[in-house]
Amino acid sequence: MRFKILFFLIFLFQSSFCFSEPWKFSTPSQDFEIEFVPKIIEGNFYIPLREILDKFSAEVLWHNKEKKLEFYVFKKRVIIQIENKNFLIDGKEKILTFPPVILEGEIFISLKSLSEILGFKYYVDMKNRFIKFITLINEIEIAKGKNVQINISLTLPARYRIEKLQSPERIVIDIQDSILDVEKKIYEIEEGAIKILRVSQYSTIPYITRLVIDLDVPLNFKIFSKENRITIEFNKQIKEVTYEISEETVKIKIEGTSSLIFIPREYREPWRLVFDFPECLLGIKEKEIKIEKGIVKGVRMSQFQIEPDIARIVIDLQARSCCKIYPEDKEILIEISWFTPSLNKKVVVIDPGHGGRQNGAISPSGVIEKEVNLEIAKNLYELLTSEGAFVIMTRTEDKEVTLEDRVSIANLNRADIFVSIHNNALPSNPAIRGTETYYHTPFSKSLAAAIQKRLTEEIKLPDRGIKVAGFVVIKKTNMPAVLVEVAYLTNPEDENLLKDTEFKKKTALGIFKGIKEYFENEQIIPSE
Amino acid sequence: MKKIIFLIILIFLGISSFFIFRKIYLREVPVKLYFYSEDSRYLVAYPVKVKAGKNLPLNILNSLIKGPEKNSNLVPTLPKNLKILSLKIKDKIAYVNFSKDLISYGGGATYEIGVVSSIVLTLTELEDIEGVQFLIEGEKIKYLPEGTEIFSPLKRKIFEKYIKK
Repeated sequence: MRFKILFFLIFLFQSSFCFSEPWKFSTPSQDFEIEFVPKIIEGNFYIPLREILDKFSAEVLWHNKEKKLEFYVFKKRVIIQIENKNFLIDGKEKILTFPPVILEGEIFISLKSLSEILGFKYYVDMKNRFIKFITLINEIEIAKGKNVQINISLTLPARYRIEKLQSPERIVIDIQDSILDVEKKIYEIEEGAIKILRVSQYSTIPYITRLVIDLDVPLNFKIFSKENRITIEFNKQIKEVTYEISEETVKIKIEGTSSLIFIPREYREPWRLVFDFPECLLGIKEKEIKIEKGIVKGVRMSQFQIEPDIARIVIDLQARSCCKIYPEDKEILIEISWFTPSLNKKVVVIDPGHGGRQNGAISPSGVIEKEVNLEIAKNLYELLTSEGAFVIMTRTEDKEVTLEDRVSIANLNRADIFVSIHNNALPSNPAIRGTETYYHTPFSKSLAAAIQKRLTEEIKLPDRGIKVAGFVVIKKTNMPAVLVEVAYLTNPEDENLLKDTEFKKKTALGIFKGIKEYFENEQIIPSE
Repeated sequence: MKKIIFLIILIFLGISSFFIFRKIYLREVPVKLYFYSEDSRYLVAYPVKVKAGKNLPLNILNSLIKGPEKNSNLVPTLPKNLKILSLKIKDKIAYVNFSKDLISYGGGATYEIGVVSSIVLTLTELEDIEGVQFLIEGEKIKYLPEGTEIFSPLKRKIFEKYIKK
């Protein structure tokens, strides 16, 4: 019965027959009328090809000499020749049932032949002068890269309707005027909260294909169609959050479906750590984990925002914590312990800027930045170790260390803080002098503020404030990290001070006091 | 008498065609250059007129190297001897090939922020430039001396925080 509707049979008409009123066309994506009237030749239904191709926004090229028409439509490149049954599609030769013809100066092609070229089904309603095209769904592909993508290939572009349904959680997509032409009906995606894709021919009058995506939790997604392909895309997900407790340390593991990017923040009153994950979905059912052991009260998770998608994890604390973060491929390990108000056993990485061939800035009278930085760093090393801190220097002599190596030294040693020591320069404005401290993530702001405050108190140079910058040593390090610019080599007064051994000792003392304050004093500036 | 009138007309035509020529070939367009404020804490937009035409981005960069007028109270951001070896625009990214002088300062956060942000902010004022790819003598390098990543094209957004509000 279905085939009778699909493959319209035209009864015997004599040679050619003209219709006078405009004919209506309906494709799965658009409805239109055509000016040229379809013709019936030897019982076959012919339509004006160029007009149809125009409606499909095809690129068309007519080769007059060879009577060939070349066109590019729905990602297919086709060459047909008038009165020739052979045609080329994407370089392959195929055969038409009826060859295209020229009538009254126009190219006409039989509906059957056009359906053979583009691969669709159709039916003709003679009474209402109406032709309907029905697309085939000929490929469904699941791509699991950074994001999950479901790609649906059709022979003609089609409109779709989306519905989000609950209990169980699922997304239903109905593709209009389409016939499902794939063998496989069930696709096990199993990526985070995305479970299974099921496809079926939902109805035949009218033809509707239904796609159902089963989910564990509601997930935001994007759907877009480009020509004859529909794509459904989900961002990466946080798929599991687990914890373990060893002695006084709580370890929280956040697992993603692919590598996670995160922005950590620390807040007080009450103390808590907030992790934002941009371009990320929360694929977890349980939105709360109660821990109530050690310092951690619990973990809360939410889809903080959609479009752009941001997942948020909040770790509620009993008191101020000492937090170390270890990002590893698809997971992030967060180690949280009680904040101890002393430098004892704290791991501090000191990074004397430049070295070796990299002189850093050079003052007009020849003071070399790398040497000043190293001397201050060595003084700071003494002060920190005398209070029980475990200090690692990225260099202890005049040698070249790459910026990546400086970052790795801090990350691999799981440092509590990273302090890079530099001196500033602005040759075009020698009047500028003073102290600045740079940081990158909001997580590092309180350390920058403490060091800047204590250092300017100690050396009494103009306080030029704490600033945000993307220098790689403070950007790629996983712990609170700062870059201190003590003074300007290009300012004569600052330059003189930097020649003075006592000044460099004072500088180290100022930075030391700042670090100490960061670890001791709860009156830190709250992040943001 | 006729000769004198003829001569006057000729001179008049000469002068007017000179002005027309200048207007067409030496047309100047208003652009914004970014320099440091007097205290060198922020970057400030500095309006100037630059010769228009195909080399507009290059002319703009050369004006940036030249620096602001003395009485402007603004501070130049680039080394005076810096040379632009070439400048190409592709897919809204300006590929600017600088002489080694771009990195000869060796260090200093304030200087480096001034160098990178003044170039990116100034060029992305143009409608057909969305980002800047830095090249040093034809080569891509990973970092500037202080650690600013320049391996990929830099977009305007990250540097807007340095503009004085």
